[in-house]
Parts: sequence; C-alpha cells; structure tokens
Amino acid sequence: MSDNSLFELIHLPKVGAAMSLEIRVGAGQSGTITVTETSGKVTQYDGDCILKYGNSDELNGRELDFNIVCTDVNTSHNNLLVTVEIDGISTSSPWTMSRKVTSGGAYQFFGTLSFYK
Amino acid sequence: MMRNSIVFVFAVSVFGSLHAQEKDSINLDLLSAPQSPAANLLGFSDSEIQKPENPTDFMALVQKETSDFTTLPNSIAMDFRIQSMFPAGKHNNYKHFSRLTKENDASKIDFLNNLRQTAVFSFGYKNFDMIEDSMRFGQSFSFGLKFSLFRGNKLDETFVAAYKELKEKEAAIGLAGSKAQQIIKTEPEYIRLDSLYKNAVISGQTELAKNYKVAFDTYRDAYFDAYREKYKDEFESFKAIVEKLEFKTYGFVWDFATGLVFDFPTNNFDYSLIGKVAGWSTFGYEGQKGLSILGLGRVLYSPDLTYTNPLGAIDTSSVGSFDFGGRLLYENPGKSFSLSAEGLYRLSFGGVYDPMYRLTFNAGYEIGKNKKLTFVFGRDFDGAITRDGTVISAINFVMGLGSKK
Repeated sequence: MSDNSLFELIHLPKVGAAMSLEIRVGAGQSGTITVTETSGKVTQYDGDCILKYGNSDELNGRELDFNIVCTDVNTSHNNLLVTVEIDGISTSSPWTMSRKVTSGGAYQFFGTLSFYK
Repeated sequence: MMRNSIVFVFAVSVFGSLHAQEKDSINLDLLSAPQSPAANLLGFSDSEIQKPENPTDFMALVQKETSDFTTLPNSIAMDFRIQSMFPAGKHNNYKHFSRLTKENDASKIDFLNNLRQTAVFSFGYKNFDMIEDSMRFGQSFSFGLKFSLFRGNKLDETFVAAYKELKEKEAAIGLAGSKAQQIIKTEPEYIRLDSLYKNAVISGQTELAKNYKVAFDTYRDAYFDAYREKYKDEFESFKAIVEKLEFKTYGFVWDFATGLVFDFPTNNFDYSLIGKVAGWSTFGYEGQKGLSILGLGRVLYSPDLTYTNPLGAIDTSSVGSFDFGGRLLYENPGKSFSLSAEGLYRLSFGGVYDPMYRLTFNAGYEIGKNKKLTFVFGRDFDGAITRDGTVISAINFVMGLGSKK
C-alpha cells in the first residue's frame, strides 16, 4: 500500500451495525478534509471529522472519497500524518498515510473507501 | 557588590532541534522568553515577573558568571512542556491553534485545554561554590511547575489573517482534489482495474486480488502524483503563509507557578535541607500595541533562614514572606526591541526582618531570528545578612533552537 494514498474495500457485516468513520490529521499540523460521497455531495472539515452511520447497510455499494490537504505548522520531524479509523465493524483499520515535508510545507493525501456486502 | 554575568538561554523545540537544516526550510518563530520557575527560585532568571508566554517543548537556561567559557556553568535550568512528553492523543491534533477557546463555542475559554498546553515542569541547579564572592556554600536543586489559566482571549490580527488564508487555500485545493477524484473514476483503465480487483476480492481469489490491488494502487498513485505536480507551486506557496503564523495572544493573562528548592550545603547527598518553598501568580494585561502591565504576588517560605533581625542581631528561624510588585513592559510589535521596568517589595510574616525591595530596568534587542540580547540593571533585594541592596548587572543572550525545522 502506498503511504500517501489509500484504497480500501470494506466488507460490511451480514447484520447491519452502527459504525463510525474518523479521519484526523496529526499533531502540529493544519488540515482540511474534503469528503465526497457517491451522490456527489462534498463536505469539508477542519482538522478531523467523524461520520456516524446508524446502520452499516446504508453504505452497501457506496464509495466515500476523501482527500486531506495538510500543512506543517509545527510538526515533529516535519512528518505529516493522517489517520483513518473505522469503529463498530470489523476492518483492518486504523490506516495511516504520511509524508515528509520541509518546514511549512503542504501535501495532499487521497483516499477511497468502497463498501460491499 | 557588583555581579556581572553572561547568561545563555536556549529555547529548544526538542524533536526538531538537532536535525540537519534543510535548504528550503522556513523559520517558524517559536522563541519564548525564559519561563523557568526553577531558575526564578534559584535567583538567575532574567526577570522576576515573567510575562506569560506560549511555551516551547523544551527550554534550557545556562548561566556562568565568568567572562570566559573554560569551566562548567554554575547554574542550569531546564523546562519541559508536560504535554510534549506524551504521545499525541487521539483528538489533540489540529487544536494547535484552537486551544484558547472551546471548539464549539469560540466565546468561551477552553480552560482545560489551555492548562494542558501550558503546563511546564522545571528543574534547576546552582553551584554556589563556583560563584565568586558567594556567601553561600554547596549546591542547590530546584523543581517547579507552571501553568497558565488565561493567555489573553484576543488573537493577533496578522495571525488570524494568515490562518484564514491558509484554511481558504487548503479548502480550494481540497475541492480541486475532490474533482480529480471524480475524474479518475471515469478513466477506462481505472474502471477496468477497479472492477478486476473488486471481483477478485468478492469471489475469494486472494492471490489474484493482491496482484490487481498492486496494479490498481500503482495506477492511482501515478494519477495523483501527476495531479500534485500540477499543484506544486500552490503547495510551495503555503510556506509564505505559515511563516506569518506567529501564535500571539493579547488581553488578560494569568499564570500560576510553584516550586521547591533542596540545598546540599556540605555537598553531601545524605545531608539536605529544604531551602525554599514558593507559590506565585503573575497576572496582567497584554496590549496589542506592545505595552503590557503585569503584577505579581508570591508567597515564599524559607526554613532555617539566617537573617538580620530589626534589632541588628543575626537570627535563624523559619521565615515566611510575601512579595508583590509590578512590571511595565513595552515590546516593539515586530519584537525587535523591548524595554521594561519592574519593582518588587518583600514583607516578612511577623516582621522578622525589615521590608526590602528590588528595582530593575530591562532592555532587549532581537539581533536575528530567534536570537535576542537582553540587558538588566538595577538594585536587588537586600541580602539576608547585609542590607546594601546588591547591584544587578547582566547581559543575557537568548537563542532559540529548533524553530527552523
């Protein structure tokens, strides 16, 4: 898997369950998360976002695209870091993406989560 | 008695400091004035009334009272920002610049977050045997804790404007990225690899799925790398904005500090005394145009202090005292120079010795990014035995390391 982009195919449980998806940027960095749903709806979040779903079945056949523009404002080792974590259903999360930049540098990470049953 | 000293202060951001400087790195100005309560208790901080500042991860203060550098320093203090000792928590990421007010209500101060961000543990050491004309012997160690309750609820306008620009830029590139993510999905090769990979996974062909995943990731990476290359100049332009992000706050400020000194008068580890216990609070108003007015209240307890009583006789007893005073400080908004005057008055509980005072004048000049020269001159408190108000005269060189990362 690449360390600056993510594509995960997620097998949803047979019995729908409440689940949440969290995307967050690492300490000492600024970040804007842009989430694009299958419907084309685009939402932007500052620093982190938690998307909650009452029943995982509603994600069946859908894809969530997201990208995170991160800027180093005071990171350790100038390492930009993004974590993607799913709670509530069994997956191999958390997944991380990272990138070394020079001081004050910015980078854009890309990710897609594709759900199937 | 004239005391001349050269003081070197290193404000170090622990994690980034010792790495090789990259050619195109920019300067994130993180230099904070010395905060050390430990140095304050041992009497070698550059100011008694320290302006509440946003602490760096680590700061060390080293003092040597000779004009050459052939011997070890006689006084050392180190400050550690407590939060930086722990790994980043699950939700503390982007709050780097949102720590003053509550996330969901900008009109309310985030007290707990403020406390977490500013708590500093301090350690200090002083070797009296190495100090010329010292009336004390042995060595002393001090420990201190300092935290801020309020650091002003107004953010610097330059910072606010730069931060807004940064977020707007991130958002614009985020939208462009979203479009790019939708465009790639219409590419025939993407559709083909996506379909092959998904079918292999769903039909349980694990090995085949792995191979398709590699091909799919390679295709996606190449596409997004090309996209990033297109925006290379945009990403580069972030540095100019970040450089303007000097986190600065104005308004009401209020710090608390406490500390303890252990004396080893015979240089024997088995024989130690508690030299001082103190707790103090610094409060005031920091103005946007560089003028600050600060006040200090401090309770100090010194067990077995030898002093001259009001009858002129030498006496030894446990003494409690109360210090109060103020400081008027002007810092050029660009921080190139600063001027301040401070006065402190000391009263002993029960009047065991006569009241005494300290008056100093401080000047500072920034001689380069994260390099500051300061000068202090004035009258110190009367000595415990003598009553002549020592002249203080010191040049301080403050250097910040670790801000260029």
